[in-house]
Amino acid sequence: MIFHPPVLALLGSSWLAVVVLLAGAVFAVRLLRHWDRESGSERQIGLERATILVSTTVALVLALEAASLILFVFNADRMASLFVGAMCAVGTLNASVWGFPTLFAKIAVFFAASLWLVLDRIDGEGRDWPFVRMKYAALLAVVPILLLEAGFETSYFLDLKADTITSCCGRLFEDGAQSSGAGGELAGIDPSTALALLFGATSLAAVLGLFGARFRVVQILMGPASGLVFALGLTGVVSVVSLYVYEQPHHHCPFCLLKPEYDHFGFLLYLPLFVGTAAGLSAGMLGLLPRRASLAEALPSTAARASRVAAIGFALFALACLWAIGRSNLVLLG
Amino acid sequence: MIELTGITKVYDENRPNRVEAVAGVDLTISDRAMTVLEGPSGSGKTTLLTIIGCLARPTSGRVRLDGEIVSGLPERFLTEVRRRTFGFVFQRFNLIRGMTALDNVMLPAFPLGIPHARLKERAMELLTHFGVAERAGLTVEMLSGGEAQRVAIARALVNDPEIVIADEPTASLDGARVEQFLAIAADLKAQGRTVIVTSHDPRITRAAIVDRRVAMADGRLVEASP
Repeated sequence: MIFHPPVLALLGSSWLAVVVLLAGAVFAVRLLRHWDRESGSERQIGLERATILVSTTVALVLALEAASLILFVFNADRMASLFVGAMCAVGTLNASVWGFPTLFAKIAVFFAASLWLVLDRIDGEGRDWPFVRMKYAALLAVVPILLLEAGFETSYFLDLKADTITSCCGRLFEDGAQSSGAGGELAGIDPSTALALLFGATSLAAVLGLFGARFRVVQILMGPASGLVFALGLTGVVSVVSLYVYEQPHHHCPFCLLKPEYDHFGFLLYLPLFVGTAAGLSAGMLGLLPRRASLAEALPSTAARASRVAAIGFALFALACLWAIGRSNLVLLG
Repeated sequence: MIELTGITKVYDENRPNRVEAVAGVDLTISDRAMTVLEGPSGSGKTTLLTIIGCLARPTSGRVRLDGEIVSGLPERFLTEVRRRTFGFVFQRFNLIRGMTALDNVMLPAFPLGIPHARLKERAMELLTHFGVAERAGLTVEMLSGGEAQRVAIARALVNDPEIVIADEPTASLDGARVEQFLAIAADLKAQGRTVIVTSHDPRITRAAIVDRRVAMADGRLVEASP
């Protein structure tokens, strides 16, 4: 294990989240078994009092965990200098078999935490604890994802050795005849197709989110649409946008974009994409929630706001892609 | 209408000095009436009053206000209910020292975002109504007991509450001031407000304007007149 402050911070935050969420899960089971709003029993009043404390604590650690994705990726990039063969975060993640599983688990935690935080927020808007049962049932679903992430992350950091020889991003995101694996396949997608899909999907989602935010059906549609934009957005970045940023026709790495040499341009791409996707998924979730009298105004307006945030996120992502293409000296198409 | 079902309040639960201040109280309080909770010191009147006024939560039991369970509301909604529905007159008036009578009256309405000029006008109206307008600019330390009581009542009414709660409001006042309080209570009732008072002062508990007397002892209801 390499004792870097970010490594310790990441492990600390993950295991803190695990401890808090396990305690939250015990409370969630109690609440799901015994919650009865009509009852004035001591147990019910105890649950009502405790739920504020539990949900506030859980919300804090989940927000921390969601934000830790940025630190994880940033740290992976910074640690590349420690491993022979590593040029960017890919090399660091490749230095252990647990690297990429950890990244994917952290992305899953980011979205799960975002959805839970939105559910918690909307539940807090109602006078009668409108979604308290659903919120704690959802918490029970988040716990295994978080456990998996903490397990992967711990295995990953324990497995990291300074004398590891790793491979750079060129091998993973290689186009042409030698390409292999998902990274290679993404890199090998035809640039014009990838661009058409990227801008088509982001434009559609942005227009939907901005102009149809008031309509419930649009809010529901924003969920799957955001998932699609996320997938196509990442595909577009690997397949074509990265080429324009590096001004090299065969360098597809989505992680080198985070490096200072490229002005940390990756953060400008990924932050709006991730925030937009989380907001879009939240809009879909809010659109699907059953209507409650106590949330007659708050639920539709929060869902509409989430749709607009998603639309703005996707629009910013598309604009960042356009800017990268526009300012590049690379001539790839036409 | 305020409905209390199975209200219990325990202080210092699981400790040697555990006190059951209120035990299993069921009570319904009608709108636009004056209800007096009477009983000796330590009988649980004040605790019950704070639970009715949403200043404290019961250990068990429910408080319903017009059918809505208010004792189980999340804190921010409970604050809203407290601010908009109840006006409180405390035993020691709890006016804030160092501030003028006018500022004390205006204080509970600040979070509502009422424009300052309108709020000041409303506070002055109340102080005038209770005959202490000329004391508006004085700090509360300079007020007599009777004046402080009237300022406290004006403060309780600044948010135009439906329910006015007064805890031993005449405990430290002479006979003339008690009569004055009863006149104010009658006035509040005439305005359509619900008035709930705790007292062990017979001049209050036996007053003609009282619609209902509820007697308490050792945290329990021992007698409730219809």
